[in-house]
Amino acid sequence: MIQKITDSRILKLILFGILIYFFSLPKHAHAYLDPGTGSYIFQIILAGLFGSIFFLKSGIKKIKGLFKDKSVEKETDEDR
Amino acid sequence: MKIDKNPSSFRDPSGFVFSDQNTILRQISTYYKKNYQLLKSSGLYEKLVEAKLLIPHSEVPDTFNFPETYKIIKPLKIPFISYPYEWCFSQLKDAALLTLHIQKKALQFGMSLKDATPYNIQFLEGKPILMDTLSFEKYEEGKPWVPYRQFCEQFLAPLSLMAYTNITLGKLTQEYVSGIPLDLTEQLLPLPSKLNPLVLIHLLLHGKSQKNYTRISKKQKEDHAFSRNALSGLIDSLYNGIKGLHPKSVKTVWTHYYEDYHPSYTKKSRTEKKEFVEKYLKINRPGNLCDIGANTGEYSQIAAKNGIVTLSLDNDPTAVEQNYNRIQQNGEKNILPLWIDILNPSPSIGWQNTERSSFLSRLQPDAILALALIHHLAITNNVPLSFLADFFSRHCRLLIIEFIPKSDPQVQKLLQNRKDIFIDYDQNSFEKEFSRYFKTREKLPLSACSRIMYCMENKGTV
Repeated sequence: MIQKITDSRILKLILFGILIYFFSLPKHAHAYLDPGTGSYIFQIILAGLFGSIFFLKSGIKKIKGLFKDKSVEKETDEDR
Repeated sequence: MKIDKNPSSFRDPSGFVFSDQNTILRQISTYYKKNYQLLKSSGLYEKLVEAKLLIPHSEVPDTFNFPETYKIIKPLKIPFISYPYEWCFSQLKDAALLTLHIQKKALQFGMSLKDATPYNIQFLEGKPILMDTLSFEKYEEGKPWVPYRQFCEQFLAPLSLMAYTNITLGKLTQEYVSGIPLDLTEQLLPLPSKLNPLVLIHLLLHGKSQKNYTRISKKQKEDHAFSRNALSGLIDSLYNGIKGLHPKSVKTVWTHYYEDYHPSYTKKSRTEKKEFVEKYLKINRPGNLCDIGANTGEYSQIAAKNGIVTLSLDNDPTAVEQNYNRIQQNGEKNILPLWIDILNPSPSIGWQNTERSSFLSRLQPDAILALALIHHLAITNNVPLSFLADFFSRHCRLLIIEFIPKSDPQVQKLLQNRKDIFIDYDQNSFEKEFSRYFKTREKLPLSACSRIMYCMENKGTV
């Protein structure tokens, strides 16, 4: 009897564990494309570089924007 | 009811393209429902369509009973489907910049591209446009850009090879349909190109990383997030780098053909030729036209100005480049220049040899323009006149063709170093062979040269 209860508890625990595992997996619902391990890691390695360059550039752009005459601003190709 | 699933639309489970009695439609799977709703509700679809960056579509009633269908949409029809190995450098470059520009826009609306392939881009009214409405997914902060590898192998590698090694290497995209391997790209690139940060980072170091890292643990993935700023920086780095790439300049025989190398034409005969072309295009009003051996598109422009959708083919990538650049500068809408060697047009490739269809199976023009062409096919490449007549008869209703006799200085040049084995190459044989398939409507010998213009109509149905 005791053996049976322990077995069913272990079973429940395993099932619970499997459920937790699946729910905690990152959701790649639509990523049908293989990103490639090397390409994926490479982006992670360079994340700091790309992030800081972008941060600096956006900062400079914002500062420049403060001094720009907004009345003559036109929509450029970039803004399309 | 005849329904054909498009053989190239099978990789992405979000939906597929099919045709119903010549109408192109796209099924959207229930699997893609949430992303499609987000594309619409976020305002991204409207923004991109308004800027002519994404193909517009309308939703149509679902009468097809495909399983797991959320919606059926009818995208605006693209007049001619072309592939990256048929584009010149600037066409591929513009397609790459468009893809990155759309990615930037998508991020602003909380979405991201889930694929970044030139096969999703087509040319409409002279400009590249994204034709895959199902390319977007909800942006998940922290995740690297999934199509980064695809973008580098399918856009950046061929562009860099064309810019730094040889412009003809764009044709490698035909051999490597999933993208040019980065290790091969590295071997083919010359040393100076490796100093360009774009090449160094996104091709060389990226390629090394592909070799060195073959496994990643779940913990590694979770420990290192890829911030929104990092993604924006990555896209910016690619965008600015590609903007600075230019094709390796090559002066070929063809690029200044009319200016430098053409003693056969006087100004008068060129004017006569243009008038002849314009007159018979106006009389016959073909729905669309293919100009074979178009060079930089001088005669294609006549058709385009008369509202005829024109394919402008040449086997010289530099001539196609000039043609495309002029179209961009002038905002011309009716010409699609393509880099095609009519002696070896693109074959059917990919899965089951049907994924990307052959050029000739896509070519269904109403009219063909073959000016200053047949001596190159018949004499330089030994194609018999009977083969040429048969070829043209299979592909058009109306044919405007120029016959260049042996006495012409250009033909003399072609024959100067070889034995003249072309006993049948003369006006009589030409007319005899073409009369098997065509009725000559008009014939005009050009003054001040020995060339003859013909306007012919196919006797049978094409």
